[in-house]
Amino acid sequence: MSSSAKRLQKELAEISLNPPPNCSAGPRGDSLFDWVATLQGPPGSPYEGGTFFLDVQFGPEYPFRAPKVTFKTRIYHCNINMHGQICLDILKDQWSPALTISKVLLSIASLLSDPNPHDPLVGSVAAEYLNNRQAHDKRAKEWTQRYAR
Amino acid sequence: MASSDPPRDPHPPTTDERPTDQQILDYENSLRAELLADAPFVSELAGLEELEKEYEGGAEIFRKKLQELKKDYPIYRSIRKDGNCFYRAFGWRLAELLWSPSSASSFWHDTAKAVLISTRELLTSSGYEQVMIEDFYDTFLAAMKLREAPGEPTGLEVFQSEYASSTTICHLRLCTGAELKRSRDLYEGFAEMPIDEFVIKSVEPMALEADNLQISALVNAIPLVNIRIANLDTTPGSINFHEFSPMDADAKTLPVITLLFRPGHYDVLYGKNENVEK
Repeated sequence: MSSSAKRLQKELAEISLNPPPNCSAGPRGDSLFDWVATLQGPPGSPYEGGTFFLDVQFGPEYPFRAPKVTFKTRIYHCNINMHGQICLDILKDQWSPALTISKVLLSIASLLSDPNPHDPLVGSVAAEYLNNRQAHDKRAKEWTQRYAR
Repeated sequence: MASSDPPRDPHPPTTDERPTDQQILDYENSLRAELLADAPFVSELAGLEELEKEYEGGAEIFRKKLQELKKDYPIYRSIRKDGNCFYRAFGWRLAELLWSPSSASSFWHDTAKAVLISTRELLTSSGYEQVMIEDFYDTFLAAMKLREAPGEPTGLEVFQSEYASSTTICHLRLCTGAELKRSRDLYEGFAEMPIDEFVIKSVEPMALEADNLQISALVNAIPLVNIRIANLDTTPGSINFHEFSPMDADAKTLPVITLLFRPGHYDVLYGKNENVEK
């Protein structure tokens, strides 16, 4: 078994035993490199009550390269675009082999609670977040109702 | 548009012409891979004349300093320029010192073995999860030939195999991070941010170069060697050295690792009387 597969098995055992709050994750089918994860919208955020599905792809160089994580459920968020791509430093140049998928999911959950409008992926949503927070939150709630229930 | 309309789509597909971050990252990685494809992680021994050739058309001050350096350090190994060179150079020299027949039955070797085996506790006590660090730790000990690992590369092979080599570097990065957190009071004043953030941003990610703070921390995390760094820069005068020694060890009794620093990069230097592994 390759070293990346060994590592993924460990992570799977760990996340099954101690899943991070409001998250779940595991292989989609037979491949250890192709996972599905779910995230419950964090309480107190406009995403509360929604269930968001994510795709997690690990490469053969894992854990030395970050996994590719994308939202499959549409979400109104300035750091997540229509293709589900996420703008998050630890999925890019701040990735470290000491991180785990568990920690990545926790970071995404905290990105839902605290968007980062100063490094946006969707400029219009970021501008609305900064200039008209009420309208932003309203729309984010509508999208949660519509796509994530 | 009235606010009661169905949610507006803020992402019209036609505006999505910029490459995605993922594409940019993949492109950068492919460039880097292309650039480095032929460079060994750790090169064969070479005379300093090889380095002098690089500076033939360069500034006089470099040539003067290299000539001066050559008198005491005639041999070097180049380390791959991938942002991991300090950790790789450190790991390599530590391994060489451990493998050296002359150190085999020495007091230093016994101490080194104990210190390196205890790095697992260093990491777990700083909050790293045991199950995640085990792979790095085991490969690291095998690289240092301190543990039999059937089927795993050992010795020189480790430094030529991408996975084992990255794993060893990762272990050294985590040791650096653990020391920074363990003695945070000592280091915090030198980091421009809280230590935990510094570790996440400037120590743990692979391919990020080590600076003075990381070097000081690694020397204290693994207090087995002194590090002497020759700076090849344009300051007038003789070549200057920076020394790093562990605080809680009798530095005089420890071997010295000498590195050559050029902005953004470290290579390994060998002194005239040093025993070098061929």
